[in-house]
Amino acid sequence: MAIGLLEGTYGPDGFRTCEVTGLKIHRSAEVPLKMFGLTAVVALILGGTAALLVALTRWEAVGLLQPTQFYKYLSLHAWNLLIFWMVFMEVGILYVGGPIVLGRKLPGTKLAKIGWVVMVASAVLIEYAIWTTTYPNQQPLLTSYAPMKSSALFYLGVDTFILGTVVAALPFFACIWQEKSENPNGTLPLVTFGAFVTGIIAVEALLGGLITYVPTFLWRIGIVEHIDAAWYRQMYWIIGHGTQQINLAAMITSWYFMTHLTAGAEVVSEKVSRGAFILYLFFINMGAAHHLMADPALTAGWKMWNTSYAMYGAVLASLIHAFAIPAGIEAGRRKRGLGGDSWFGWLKTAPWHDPGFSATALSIILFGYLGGITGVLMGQMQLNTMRHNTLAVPGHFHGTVAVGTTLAFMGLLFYVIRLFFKKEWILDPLARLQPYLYGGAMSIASMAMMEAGIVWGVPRRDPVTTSIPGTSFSFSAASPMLAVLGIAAAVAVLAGAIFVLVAVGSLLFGKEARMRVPVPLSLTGSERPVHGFSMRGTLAMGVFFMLVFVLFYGLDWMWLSRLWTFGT
Amino acid sequence: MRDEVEDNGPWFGVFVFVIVVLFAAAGAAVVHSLMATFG
Repeated sequence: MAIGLLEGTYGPDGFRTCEVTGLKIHRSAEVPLKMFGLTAVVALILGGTAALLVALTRWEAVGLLQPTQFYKYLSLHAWNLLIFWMVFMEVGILYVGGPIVLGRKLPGTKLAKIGWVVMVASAVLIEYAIWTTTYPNQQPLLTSYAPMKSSALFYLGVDTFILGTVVAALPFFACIWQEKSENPNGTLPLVTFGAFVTGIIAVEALLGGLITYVPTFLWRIGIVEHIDAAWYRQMYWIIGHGTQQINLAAMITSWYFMTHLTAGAEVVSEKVSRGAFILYLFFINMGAAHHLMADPALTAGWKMWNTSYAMYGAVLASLIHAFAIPAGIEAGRRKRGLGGDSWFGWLKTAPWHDPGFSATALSIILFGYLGGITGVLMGQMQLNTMRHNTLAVPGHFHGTVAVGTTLAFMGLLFYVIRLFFKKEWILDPLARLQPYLYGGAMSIASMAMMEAGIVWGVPRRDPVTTSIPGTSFSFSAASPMLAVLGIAAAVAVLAGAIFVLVAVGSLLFGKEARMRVPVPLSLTGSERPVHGFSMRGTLAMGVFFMLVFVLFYGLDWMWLSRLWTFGT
Repeated sequence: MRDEVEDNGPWFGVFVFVIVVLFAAAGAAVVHSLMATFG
C-alpha cells in the first residue's frame, strides 16, 4: 500500500503534467516529496499525542503526569513538532520549490533517499533516547543545555539527523545550480527563490547545529573533558532558533504558493518580495539572540545590537510579506474580476470553504497578530524581562510555529493530497472545518499562556506551580487561566486528530481526485498590470494591524514601568 | 461571479465568527490585565 501511494503515472521521460498548475513534475522529485510529507505526518501524530499529555498536566487541576513523565513527554512534544514535523515538511518544500516549480528532474535522487533514511533512523534514535532516559541522565527538552547531561544516544541522534538533513537538501541545491548554469540570465520564480533562501538559512542553522552538538557528543562520551556552558548556549541557539527561522521562510514560501493556487493571488512586486527574502537572509538569524537576553555571559551591547537594531531588518521583511501577500490576493482577485469593486468584496468571496486557503489565510493572520507582535516585544531587551522564562514564551512560539507554520503546512498538505497523491479529501465537512477549529483553539491556548505568564508570572517548563512543594510561594491565582489553556489545547489536539484522520483517510480510502482549484489560475481578465489594481482593502487591514501593534507595544512599556526599579 | 469559481457558501461567516471570537478573547485578556494592574 505504502509503495503504491508513492507511485504515479508518468510519461516515458518520467514527467507528468499537472492538470491544474501546468507544472511538469518528474517522478524523481515527486516520490521523495511524498516520502517526506508522509513522514512529517507521523511526527505530527507523535508530537500531538505528547502535546495532549503535556497540556493536561499544565492544567494543574487535572495534573495528569508526574514530573519525570512530564519532562519525557515535553521532550517528545518538542522534538517531534518543532523539529521532525517541521524539517521533514521543509525538505519536501525544497523539492516543490526547486525541481517541481522549475520543471526539472531532482538530481541525485539517491542522496534524497539516503538523507531520508538517515533522518528517519536518527529521529527513531532520538525518540528512543528520550523514552529510555533515566537518572542521572536528564531529559533534554529542546535545548539540552550543557552541562546538564542527557543520554549519549540523544546527542548522537541529533548529529546524524542534522547530517541526514544536509544530505537530503543537497539535491535541491544541485537542481538550482543546474537551472542557473543552463539559464544564467534567467530569474528564479519567486517560490523557488523563497525555497532557495530557506535552504541557505537551513544550511547556516544546520552547520551551527554540528558546531554545537558534535563537541557536546564528544564531551558526553568522555573524549572532550570540558564543555563551556556559556559557549554551548550561544552556539546552540544558532540551530535552536535557526530551525524556527527555516520554518518562517518555508512558511512564507508556502503562503505565496498557496494563495496563488487557491485564491488567484499574484505577486504585486517581485522586487519587493525578493528584497524581503534577502532581508531575512542577512538579519533573521539575529532573532536567536532574544533567547539570551538574561544570559550573564553576554554583554548588554551584544544583546542590544542583535535584538534592538539588527533584528528589525527581519521585522521589516516580515511586515513587507504581511502586506505583499494579502495585497497579492486582493489585486489578483480584482484582476480576475472576482468580488466586485468594493473594499472587501475580494476577501468576502475568497474560497473560505477550501481548507487549503482557509488554513493559509488563518496562518497569515494569526501568525502576525499572535506570533509576530509578541516576537518583536520579546525581542527587545527591556520588554523581554517581563516575559523571560514565563509561560508567555511558549505562548509566543505557539503563535508562530503552531498557528503559523503548522497551520500553513496543514493547508499545503491538503493540496499535496489532491494534486500529488491525486486523492479526494474524505469527510469533506470535517476537512473544511478543521483549519478554523485548530486555528481558533490553538490561538486561545496561545493567548492563555501569554496571559498566565505576563499577569501572574507563571513559569514555563514547570508541571507544578500552584502548590510548589516546600514553599508557600504559589501561582494558584492563575488556575482559571491554566484551565483555559488545558481545554483549548485539548480542542486543538482534537482538530489536529481530525487533520490526521482526513489526511490518512484520504490517502487510504479517498476517491481519485477531480483535479481542481477554487479559482481559474489563468489570467484572462484585464490587460492592466496587477499592481495597477486597488489594494485599499489590504491597506486598511495593514493600518489596523499597526494600530494593534502600537497598542500592545505601549501597554508592555506601561506594565514594565510599573514593575520594579532595576539595579536598586 | 464567474461560473468556474467555486462558491464559498457560509464559510466566510465562519471565518468572521472565529476572528471576532479571537479578538474578543484578546480584548478580554487586555482588560483583565489592566484590571490586575490598576484594580
